[in-house]
Amino acid sequence: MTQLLEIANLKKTFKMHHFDKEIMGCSNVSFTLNQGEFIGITGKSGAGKSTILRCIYRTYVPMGGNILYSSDQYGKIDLAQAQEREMLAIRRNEIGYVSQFLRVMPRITALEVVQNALVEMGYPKEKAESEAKNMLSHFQLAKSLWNAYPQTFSGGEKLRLNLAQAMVKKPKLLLLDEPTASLDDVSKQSVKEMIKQLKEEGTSMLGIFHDLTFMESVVDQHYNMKEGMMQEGVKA
Amino acid sequence: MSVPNTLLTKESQDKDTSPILQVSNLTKRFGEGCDYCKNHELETNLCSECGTVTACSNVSFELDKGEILGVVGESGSGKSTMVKCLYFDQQVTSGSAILTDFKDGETNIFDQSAQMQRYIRNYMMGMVYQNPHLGLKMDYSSSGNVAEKLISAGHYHVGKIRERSSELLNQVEIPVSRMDEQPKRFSGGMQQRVQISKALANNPPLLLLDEITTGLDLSVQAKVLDLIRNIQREMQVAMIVVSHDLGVIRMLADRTIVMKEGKVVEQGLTDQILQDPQHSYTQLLVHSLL
Repeated sequence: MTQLLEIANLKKTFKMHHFDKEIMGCSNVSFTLNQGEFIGITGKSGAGKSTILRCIYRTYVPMGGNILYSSDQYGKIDLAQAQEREMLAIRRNEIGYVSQFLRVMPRITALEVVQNALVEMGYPKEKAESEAKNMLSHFQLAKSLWNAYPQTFSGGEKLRLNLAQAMVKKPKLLLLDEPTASLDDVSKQSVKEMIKQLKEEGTSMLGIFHDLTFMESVVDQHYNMKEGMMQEGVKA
Repeated sequence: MSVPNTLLTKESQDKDTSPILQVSNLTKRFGEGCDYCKNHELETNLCSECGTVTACSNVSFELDKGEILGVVGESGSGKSTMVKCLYFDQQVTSGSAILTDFKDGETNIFDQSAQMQRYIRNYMMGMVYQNPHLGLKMDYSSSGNVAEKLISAGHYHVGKIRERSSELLNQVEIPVSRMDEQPKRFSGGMQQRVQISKALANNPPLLLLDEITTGLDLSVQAKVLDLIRNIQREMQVAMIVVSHDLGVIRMLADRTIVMKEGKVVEQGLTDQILQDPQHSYTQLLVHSLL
């Protein structure tokens, strides 16, 4: 199998200048994600799970180690060192990220949020709109909400919108930070279906879960994290 | 509407990834400067020996086509001086800026003659000031203000200028029925929108926006920001957005540079600057966010 992501000795600390303190995010994290594989990460709050995803996405600046990623556009590239311009292009076209909290622009409708993700990739507007509508229907977001502003949405609605926004791109790599946190069983089922479909189409995924039953039904293997360190992998 | 071909390279229009603007070591001193402040790293931007203020000190960055670059920093950090230098409102002390579309991207625009700089400004740049009084002639009609920019960019057909002015003002939601009114009769938000349409008149590849929403109330601010975002999406104009409002930066900018005492102390992806600020000053700034 081809390796999509090779993380070696990833280290992240947060230096708080005003308290003269250094906070540990994660250290010595090493693992490999193969093409089409889904790895789950579990662990207590504050164990450093999200830190890893954010380092890959460069929301956090890694302090050490490498994040070797096989990009379509740039070939093998170390995301820990990549230029901002490269990072922006990779985010736009190759990596999807579903955070725990949807951060939306004011005065942009739910449909536009999903549609814009595709327009940025260069899809024509009409095509982007129809794909976006398909995705929103799949996640059972009520039609009456499509042309509403997401600030007013419930937690579950926001999360489904967030998933739709990332998954509509059919990214090469998808980072999921608790993708089922506030969802009911019906919605969870639709997330599971979409994960399966994307996997079949070749998307590799890295996900953080508290819901272990759900995780075990979708991942190929998982790791547990404790105090910023990664523990032995378990094959699912 | 477009720049005469003699000064444009065909290739530069096709290249999507190359930067359209490269700024290197832009420095602006107010005062003579002395050996001490020219050769030492100063704590503040005021030289204790000669009293010279170094408003911008070795500022360097690149701007890609269609990209929005945010510039944040407290009052007096040199943000406005930097954009004013780029728009030739201020003369730089040293440093260079290269526009890829101008003379094959091989010339420092700061070294050009005043006449050439006027040309660059008229054909390749648009500027929106925080204070509408700087960007508009308050006693002229709004359409006349837009026309002024069009005329300086080489348009002389009155009918066409009128048509383009009303199109531009319409785009920023100034009713056609009021296009001949003087900006001094408009509200602050409307004045700002007239300024934006004036700045866009020559279809510039580069737009400089200096604190454009400061002092506007929230709903008006929202309208101006929506307009900016639409312009970027529809027209692929590259922009430098100067603001001390991190909310504005978060909404508009892909990348952000942080300035303090005339120096760039940090630069990065906007979400990284806001969520994992590295420099102590940026941390203070982000943690002061309401």
